Amino acid sequence: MNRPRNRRQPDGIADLLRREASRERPRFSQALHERILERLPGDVVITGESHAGEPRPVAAWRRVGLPVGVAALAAVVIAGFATRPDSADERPRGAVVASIDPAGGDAVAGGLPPEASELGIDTVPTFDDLEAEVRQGVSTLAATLLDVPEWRMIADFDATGFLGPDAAP
Amino acid sequence: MAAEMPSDDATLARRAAGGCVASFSTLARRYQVPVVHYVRQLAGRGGADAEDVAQEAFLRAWRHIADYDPRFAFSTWLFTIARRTWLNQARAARRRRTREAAVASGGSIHAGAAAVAITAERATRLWQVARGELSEREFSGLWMRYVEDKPLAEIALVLDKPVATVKVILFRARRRLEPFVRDLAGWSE
Repeated sequence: MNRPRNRRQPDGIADLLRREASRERPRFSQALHERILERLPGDVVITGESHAGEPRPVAAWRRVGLPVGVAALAAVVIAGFATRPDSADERPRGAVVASIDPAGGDAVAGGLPPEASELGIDTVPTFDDLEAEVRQGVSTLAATLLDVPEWRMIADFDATGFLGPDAAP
Repeated sequence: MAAEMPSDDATLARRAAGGCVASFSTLARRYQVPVVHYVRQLAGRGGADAEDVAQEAFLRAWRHIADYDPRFAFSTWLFTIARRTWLNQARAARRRRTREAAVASGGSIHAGAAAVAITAERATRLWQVARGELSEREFSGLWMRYVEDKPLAEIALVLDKPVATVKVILFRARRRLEPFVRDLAGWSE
């Protein structure tokens, strides 16, 4: 709105489109403005995405922050007791460490093979991911659009072939 | 002395993201007319209520204000939300009409029902012609270019298309409107 008028194409259609649009310009509606403002206090501001992909409201976070903090502290204390090494066996026990390989191996996050996680292939979004992200939060549109050439390169990159046994030199 | 409200959109948006309703109110007041104007022309008579769409768009903007990227104009972001809000409502309405038409005709769907509705609402002005003759994307592209004076890069954001595609969209839209402009020259004189 604050930009200078586009004068690169001072032709008939452009001028006509501008003039026609200005004819039916609506007037400011105080009633609509008030309706919008009435809804705001009951609404929440979403500041980003949680790990589960669900928006996390700031106002809700402030309301529940203290109780959650207290609960988390209690959980840590309880977990500390639950995972305290047994005197006869130094291996930790309890639900908190249930995912650790009983044979002494490392925990495998999300069931992905360690090499896949190291390469980061599992974290490369597909076009579907990108589209879903745009639909969920409109503001990501800007970043997505700027990144289009990079996404295209990723899409053209044959990750399966690269990681396959035939790809070895 | 009361503190002055900042006037630039980016600062207002940042404050709104921190929960400042007054800052968002200033933005909503500033952009209510452009958003309602755009949606009203997009929807046409008999379409969705432009004020309802605008209201929903502003509420969505408020909920997601922290995601706004100040590298681009706030109005561009807002128009993007408004367009998507209208598209959602228009698609839902179309599905509803299709179901109703299917029920009324005993199961067969009249594919040209929407086109007939547009023809019946015969355009008398250029933007109404544009609404009837162009795709929604072409219409929105023209609107952003010639009414909102958006640069191509920002129109690309609104339309969710690369800049090169936007150029093609605008070029085709203008060419499709040219015969109507010639035929109906003198409308706005």
